[in-house]
Amino acid sequence: MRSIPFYPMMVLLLIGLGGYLGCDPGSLKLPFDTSALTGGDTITSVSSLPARDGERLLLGSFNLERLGPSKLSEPTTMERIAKVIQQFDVIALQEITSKDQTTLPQLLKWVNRSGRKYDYVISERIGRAASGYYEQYAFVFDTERVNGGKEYCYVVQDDLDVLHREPFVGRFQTKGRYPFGFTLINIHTDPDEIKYELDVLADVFINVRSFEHPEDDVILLGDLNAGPGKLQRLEQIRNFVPLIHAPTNTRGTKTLDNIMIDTQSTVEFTGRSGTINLEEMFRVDLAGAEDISDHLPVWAEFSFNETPTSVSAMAGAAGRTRR
Amino acid sequence: MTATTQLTLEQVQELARSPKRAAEQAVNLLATFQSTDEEVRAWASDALVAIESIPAHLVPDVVDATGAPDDVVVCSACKLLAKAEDAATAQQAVCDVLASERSGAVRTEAARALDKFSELTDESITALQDAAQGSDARLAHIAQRTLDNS
Repeated sequence: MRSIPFYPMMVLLLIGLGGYLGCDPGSLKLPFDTSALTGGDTITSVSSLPARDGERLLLGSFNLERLGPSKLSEPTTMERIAKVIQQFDVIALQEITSKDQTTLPQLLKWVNRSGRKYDYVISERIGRAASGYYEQYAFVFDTERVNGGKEYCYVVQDDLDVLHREPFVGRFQTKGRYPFGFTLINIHTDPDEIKYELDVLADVFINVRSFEHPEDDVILLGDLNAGPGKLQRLEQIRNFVPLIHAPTNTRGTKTLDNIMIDTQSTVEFTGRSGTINLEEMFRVDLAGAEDISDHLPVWAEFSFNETPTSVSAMAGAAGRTRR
Repeated sequence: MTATTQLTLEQVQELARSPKRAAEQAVNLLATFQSTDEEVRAWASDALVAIESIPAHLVPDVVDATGAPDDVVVCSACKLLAKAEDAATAQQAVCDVLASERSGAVRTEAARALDKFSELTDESITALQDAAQGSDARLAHIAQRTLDNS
């Protein structure tokens, strides 16, 4: 088992690490233009979400607000959660709160009812005994378009318990012609501890990125319980920016969830990101939307294929230079 | 101590959306942490997090809860006391938990709660210093962090 001490307080623990998903260079392809980051598209209907096709990958994050036995027993709510998940290639989920480990399999049954082929990876139960409950993170991904699996996921080890819910890291790769590989850090901070947790997360990001090298597309996403301008050291990492600036709670008053990328490394980002308005998507009122969650899903669009950052002008050189 | 009632799932879900009503029900929320249903406890925790302050007249009951046999109740009581309007009484109770013989996890939560008070008493500082020198690495770390932040 490989482990790297990267900070006096934390050591990354790999759980069943498999091989690194490599990237096979091929012929030249121009990168997408990335427009100025606005982080503000609010999607009101499924038809206006970016299409998932051979050129585009849609990543998302969704705090499910206590997905457990009571939500599982509500078919309408489960149908709607499944509908949200079906819009994404990979979606990071937070607040799975159930001792019953059939929760995610049951959710996937809803997601895959129409012949879809989504799979999931789920973390161990994470939290503190002193709080009286635990949560799990999950990644749900479309296996027809993305490779992933539990052998490529791990929970960040936190010996001094400075993070209430240690992040869950997962590696994925598209099944494109030039596979785009990326690493996701799934996080749900403790709102009572964000003063400390956001700064610790900055260290987590830096060290996960170092550990994942040469993979440099490391994306942090989840419920940060803080918005742009209040992300402390996370926002001070050079070129590391939050993509979401709109409110992400269902009541439309706070930006709690985000997707953060290094804009110099992850040039696959197309410039499009935003939230999904549950009230308008499902034509329900606020109470109906809050039956689904008190958070909105957030999304960001990327190129489906790895994007080169340099092109060799020399004859006989490899067609694509990877960063 | 005022008689308390464990709340149902529906009740705690409602309180999680209403911080002011949750504050009025703070003592019943604490009792609810004794529920055997983890989902209920999780929602009760959400309701507690949403509370911005607890009124002075509820502080004695929340202080009483710091003596409960259940660790989760004590930890939650400490978190609540950090939001009490009567800060002096509240801080003393949290300090007493930190200085007690309770488990490291409970004392660590007490140290976290002390970090939320704007000013620490001499007694709290002494308790934190003792904890920072102790053999429990997690408690020591949080106690030192609280001292550094004070």
